[in-house]
Amino acid sequence: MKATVASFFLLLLAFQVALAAPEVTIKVLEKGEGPKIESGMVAVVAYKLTLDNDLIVENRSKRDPFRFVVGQDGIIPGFSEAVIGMQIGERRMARIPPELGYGPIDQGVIPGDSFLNFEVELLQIKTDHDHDGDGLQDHADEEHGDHDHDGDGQPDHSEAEHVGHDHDDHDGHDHNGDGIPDHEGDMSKKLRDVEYLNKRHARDLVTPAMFEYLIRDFFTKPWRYEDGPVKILKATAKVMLAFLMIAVLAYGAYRRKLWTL
Amino acid sequence: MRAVVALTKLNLAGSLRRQIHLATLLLALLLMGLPLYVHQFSLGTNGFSRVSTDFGLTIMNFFAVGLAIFVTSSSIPRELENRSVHTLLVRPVRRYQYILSHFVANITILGASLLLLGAAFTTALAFMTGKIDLSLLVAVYGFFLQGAVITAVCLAISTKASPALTGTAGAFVYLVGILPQAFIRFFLVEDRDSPFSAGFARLLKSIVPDLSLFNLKDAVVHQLYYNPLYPVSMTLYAMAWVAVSVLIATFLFGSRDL
Repeated sequence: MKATVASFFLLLLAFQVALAAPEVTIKVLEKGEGPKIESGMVAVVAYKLTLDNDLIVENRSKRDPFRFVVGQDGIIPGFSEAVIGMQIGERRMARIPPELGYGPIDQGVIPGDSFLNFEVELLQIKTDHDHDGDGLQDHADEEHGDHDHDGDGQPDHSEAEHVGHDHDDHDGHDHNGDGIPDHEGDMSKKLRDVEYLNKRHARDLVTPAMFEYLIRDFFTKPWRYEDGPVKILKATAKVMLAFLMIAVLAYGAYRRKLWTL
Repeated sequence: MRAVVALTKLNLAGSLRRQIHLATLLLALLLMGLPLYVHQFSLGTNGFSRVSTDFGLTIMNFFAVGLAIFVTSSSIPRELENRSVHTLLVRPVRRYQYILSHFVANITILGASLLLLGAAFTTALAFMTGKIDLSLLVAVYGFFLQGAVITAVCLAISTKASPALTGTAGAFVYLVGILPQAFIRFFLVEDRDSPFSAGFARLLKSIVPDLSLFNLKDAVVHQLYYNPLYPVSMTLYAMAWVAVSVLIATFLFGSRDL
């Protein structure tokens, strides 16, 4: 009987492990203060994204922070999850599994199925709607007659008048200002879907070889690695070893008067 | 040491006679006008000064490589050809001092030229953007180190080869040296699936200096983060290659019948 119960619990545990949803692992590096950020709020963050091989993929400093609506489309789900609950000034180290990151397909320099390590610091929280990111709340923009949802500095009506058929702006359905209308808001997800890409034959259009190479080259420059100096010092040690070997050979030849100083 | 300084001065005077400084001055003038010219295509875009910076630094990079190969490939062979080397070596001058003086003279020309070009370009950008950005001098320093390594390698080759062969070999070293690992991996391994070509490319890369380490241009242009110790480590790497190349040059020149 005991064995049956134990087996049952073991089986249950195995099922739980197998079915466990991928989770973002969060470690608080520095505590913050003030209200906590929730989904739907606008977060202004500085972050550094690295892969497990120490490659720095992106570094947004406090001077050039990243602003986004927590939980919106177009942001990888794990990143929103990592930020939710943060207070201003808080620093976190978040490890995002591929299921909540970029998935199984290579994204430029990020290989498929990569874990993403974000060191993120919350700089500001904007609770109201400032979709165009100009620092003014939308109602303030409205008061001033600024219907500029895409934040390009041109009021929407002026774009509609001068540009003509920019239905996206005209209808105001591009709230995240990514240039993709909201009804196609899941485009970024589609671009990571192998079947979709194969069916559309779009992969070559999205990442033509040369373009992909240039991105990969740009992101794998030696200076991008945090441990770049260590790697260079190792290479330097090899060169110095070669120097010593040549010096010994040269000295031997000098003793035999095969050359002169 | 005194002999090296005296010979270096002699070589520098020779370079002045060949009017290399005029080419540098001309390019400096061009670089000063470049931001204004490129800015005409900005169409009011913000941050267009990055394009100017990228253009200017690329020109300086190629100038440094060209100068290193051009000046070094001809200096020793010319003296051997017109036999002026004999008038020097009959004096109390050792052969290694002769090689060392050529190296010091050539990197002095390179350093002075890059300093002039960097200052001219920084001034021109400061006029355009209203702020002085000295960070681009780090990229210029990288070009200098790259040029110093190419100079040393070309010097070693030129002790045995003609100027044309040295120039070609110098260009070869440069092209292999800047070949990024991403290129080998992407085109030769993944795209072409050619392990032989990839292996050959890696072998070539392992015997020449890795010049891609000296390129901080993108980091400077886009103001991206890099480890502050990076310039220090690349300096040590350059010094190691210079030491090896000058040693080989001394050895080859010392074993040559004059």
